[in-house]
Amino acid sequence: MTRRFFEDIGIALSFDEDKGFYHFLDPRTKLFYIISTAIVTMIMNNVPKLVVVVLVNIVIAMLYRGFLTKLASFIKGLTPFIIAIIGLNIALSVLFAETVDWVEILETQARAFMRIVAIAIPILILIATTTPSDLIQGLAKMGIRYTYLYPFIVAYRFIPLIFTEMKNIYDAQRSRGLELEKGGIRQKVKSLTPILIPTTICSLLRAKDLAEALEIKGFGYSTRRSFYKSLRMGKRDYVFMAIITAAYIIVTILYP
Amino acid sequence: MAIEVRNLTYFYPNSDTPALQDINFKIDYGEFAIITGPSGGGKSTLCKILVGLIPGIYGGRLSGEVYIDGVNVIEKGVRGVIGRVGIVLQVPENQIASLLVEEELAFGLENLLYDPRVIRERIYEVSKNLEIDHLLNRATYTLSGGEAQKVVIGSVLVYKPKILILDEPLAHIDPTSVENLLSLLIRINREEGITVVVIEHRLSELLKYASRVIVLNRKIIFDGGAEDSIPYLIESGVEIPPVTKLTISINAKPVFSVEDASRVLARHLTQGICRCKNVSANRNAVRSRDKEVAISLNNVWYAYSGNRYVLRGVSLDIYRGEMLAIVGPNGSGKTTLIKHFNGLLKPVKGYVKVFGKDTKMHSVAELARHVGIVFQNPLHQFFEETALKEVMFTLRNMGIEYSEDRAMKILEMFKLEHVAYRSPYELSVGEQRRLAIASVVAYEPDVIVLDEPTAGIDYALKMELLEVVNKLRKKNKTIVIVTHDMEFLSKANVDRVVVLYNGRVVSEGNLRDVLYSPKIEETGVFRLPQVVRLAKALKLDICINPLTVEEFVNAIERCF
Repeated sequence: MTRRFFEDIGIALSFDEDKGFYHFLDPRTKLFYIISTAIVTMIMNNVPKLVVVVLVNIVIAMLYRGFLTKLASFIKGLTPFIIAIIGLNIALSVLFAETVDWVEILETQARAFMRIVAIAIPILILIATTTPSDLIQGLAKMGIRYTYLYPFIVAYRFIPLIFTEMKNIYDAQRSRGLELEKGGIRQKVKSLTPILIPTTICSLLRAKDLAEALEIKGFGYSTRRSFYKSLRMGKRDYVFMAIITAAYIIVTILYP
Repeated sequence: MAIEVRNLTYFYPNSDTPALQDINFKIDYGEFAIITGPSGGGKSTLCKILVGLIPGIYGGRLSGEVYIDGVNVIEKGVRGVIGRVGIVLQVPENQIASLLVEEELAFGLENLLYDPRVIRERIYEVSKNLEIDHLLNRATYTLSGGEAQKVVIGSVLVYKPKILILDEPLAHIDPTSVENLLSLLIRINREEGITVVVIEHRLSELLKYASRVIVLNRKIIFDGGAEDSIPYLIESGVEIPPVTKLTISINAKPVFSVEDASRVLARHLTQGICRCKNVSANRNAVRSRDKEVAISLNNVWYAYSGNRYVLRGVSLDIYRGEMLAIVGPNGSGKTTLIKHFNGLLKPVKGYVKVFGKDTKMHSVAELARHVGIVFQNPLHQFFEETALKEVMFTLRNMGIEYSEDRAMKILEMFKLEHVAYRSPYELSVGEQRRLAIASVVAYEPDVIVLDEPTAGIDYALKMELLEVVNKLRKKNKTIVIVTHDMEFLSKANVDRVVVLYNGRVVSEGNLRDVLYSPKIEETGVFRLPQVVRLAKALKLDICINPLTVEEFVNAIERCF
């Protein structure tokens, strides 16, 4: 199960080399999409409305070929965690509530789940179709200094490498007889150490190498930097933003 | 002078022994220099000083002066030399900061505020020159080792540096890519006049290009031309080209390339004294082996989720007690294949049986009792406080009692008893490699699989490893070695070789037959070892098929 988890999440979070509609959108447009979706899902307060938002998002995401597979891998990968969190939430509400209202408890959890899915869609699109460098340029144009952003964004370039590495570490330890499925919860948590320690150390070594390489390549040489690609908001961006805005307004009005 | 180092001595923080002591040398513009020496001899430290990372980032005590292209690096630090010198550090994938190849080439120039138009021109120029223009839109994490290496080199060539310094550029690439990379470097050096400094201990293919060799073992042991460096290289345990060894053994003038060796020998051979004799005596009889099958693969197909097939119909029987090598270039599916041996991966089509057990029906833990796999990177498995506990972890998992005594015995067998209570991370590269093997051998699995055991280690450590393999062999274990190190295989005396290419078995047989088969040469699956290339160049392969320098010399001895 664990191995599949790494593969599924790895696929979901990787950049897509085949250029499609979203690759040509300005990163700022995609940020607008994420933020407006976040706001709309926060305002919406009942499950049917959120289902509609998710459906609208799936339709919008269809502009990107192969997106559904990505979303499916993502949800598949996260399912165990979502189930665990929802289970824990339910357990807590049952334990601490004076009267147990099952309808309400289930509704709260369903709402949370739909929100995660709705926001995941634009975020996955951003990750799959935007390179860190484009994102930095977009944010730099909004007045944010590139050296501040870089640490967060470089993490995203290393996601695939670290997932591959974790997979290899997992394989190496299983070959030495490590069994993750065995025992109770304490035993299971304990048996994660042989995976987490090498992953941490290998990531630190990578970080050290990268820091040296960045230094050598003049990173932080100046507070500004030039960008070899020019990023401009085009017709496509405005049309897309208009569609998103219209869709969300209609959804909000139709289901007030 | 491109590089000038005067009276350099350096101590790492909290260390009383100098990492480098009293180093003096100069490298002129246009040279192709090699800095070499044993592991732990200070090569990488020197590299980091040359580029200003030491003492800047690392601290420590440093005395002496270092000038790169006239700039005092110690004073000015890294930023003083950016643009003048291109530096390629060890692991290519860790130095790539960008997601796309094109962005990576632009990255450095963007930092230095170059004009976008100039950046685009330089990207075009450099990518054409390095023949990576077809990669510009690729995501950097999908590149092969050789491709990533070229991208990193490209990302520093865009500055148009006068000097290019590379730290162990050959460590992470296969023999075909080595050839590719070296011809690229020599072209940059000769056509563009860029001074090239390569810090490396894998000299087999490299030495022939060197205009200068500096041998470093904390101090400078030798500084001069390649020809005079040989005794010092041998003394320091650095690998020298097999053809060089060969010319020395027959008391001829040492040469460094197969072409030169073939010219020297051809002169001797055409004098007509030498004739082919005793063809059969030269062949090792195939070792008689147990016919019991340990691992059996039948038409195995495998694909990682959502991707194309990595294994495409592999059928293979591994017999009990044999030593088998699986060879092939990077990306041919070697590691994917061995992950099927203990059920880490289950075939999409076909089946794998381990001592008759179908891997689909049994857990990895169960199968691992029979098949122990040691993966390439030892750091992927260390997590305990001491080396001893590292071995005990495996023993306990396998349900072995009195594990401490047994672990200690294993450490003794691998000459690691003196580090039993040290952290695995403090060990040297060679010790880490042995510990990784020890922790798997400890529970005595019937089959031991070693994935690229010689990657990243120097010649002396390879010979140590060879001893370990021979010990295992004496215990009558079945051994599978995955490698592209043909010289190592020739010495290890393997029973059988399986050649994997594009997920298929393209050739199989004893090492000699495989290496000398015309088919392998035609397909160009991998680069043949020097001794084989030499025998073929001299057309001796019709009567003798040597694998090692010793065999070659014995076979032609009576000619001289």
